Amino acid sequence: MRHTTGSDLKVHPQTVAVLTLSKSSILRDLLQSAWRLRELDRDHSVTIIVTEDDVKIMSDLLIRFYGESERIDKNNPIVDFKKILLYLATNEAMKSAEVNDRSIRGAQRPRVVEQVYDTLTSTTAFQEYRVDFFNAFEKVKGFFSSPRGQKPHERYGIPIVPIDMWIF
Amino acid sequence: MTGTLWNYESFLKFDEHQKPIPSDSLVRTLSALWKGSPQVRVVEAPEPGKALRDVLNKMLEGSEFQSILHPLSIIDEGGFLKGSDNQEVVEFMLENAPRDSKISQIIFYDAHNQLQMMGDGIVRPYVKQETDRTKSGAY
Repeated sequence: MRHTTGSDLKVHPQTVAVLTLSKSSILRDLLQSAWRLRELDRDHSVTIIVTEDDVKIMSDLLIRFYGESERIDKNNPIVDFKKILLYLATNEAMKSAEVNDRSIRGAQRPRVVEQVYDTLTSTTAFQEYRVDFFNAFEKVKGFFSSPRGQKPHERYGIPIVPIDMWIF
Repeated sequence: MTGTLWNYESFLKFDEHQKPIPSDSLVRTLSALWKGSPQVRVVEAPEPGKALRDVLNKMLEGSEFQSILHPLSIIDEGGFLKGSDNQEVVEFMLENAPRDSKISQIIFYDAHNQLQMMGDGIVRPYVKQETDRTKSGAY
């Protein structure tokens, strides 16, 4: 999967490429990898291949989001390109939402921590606003350290085994 | 902007009013793909531990590789050949190219991410200036 982005090799003007995709691919991956063929809008062309297993997963996701009309017929060896595009765009939107959320949280955290730190170390907050430093720290200490227990079950939780799986 | 998803470092700064600069190549690529309506073929999933030749045979079965004599590229975005040696892939492509195919040399990335070119059974570093542009190339 390396070099599917960034490579810039001049290939034969009539190159035909076999481009593989998987359930993890997003629209950006398709566009980037297809653009290795710089003359895609002229004589270069691609044939996309996906595995049966991944097509099933793609179909399930499309049905979940858009209904039965977007089902991919598993018995047909050729898939409608539009459905693949729709899947890739949907998968990209899902991944994008996830990483954007994580990025926003990551970007916000230092700012909140900065404010909290300034308040805790302020020489006036304690006197003027009568901030209860120790109680305040209890409430915000999660920003500075991850509270971890001393014992394994406090750190990692207790595994729960269904009663019918008990073996004596 | 290449369409790569944001991460913590690259995410837009809230207070700097940064505007993303859209990529023109993504639009161009999508438009080209849309017009070309590429065929999407479904193949059996390569089984773990299966010989590379079997995987490649499944991948290329019925493709232009076997019917049209045009040069061929493999762009493995889906990771079908993950863990395989690209040189073995190239050997397979050269061995199985149709007799009157235009394929005579193939460019590939070796295990050290260096571009190599195989032709006439010899592997040598790919140097752009030395490459005969009139010959076929693929990667």
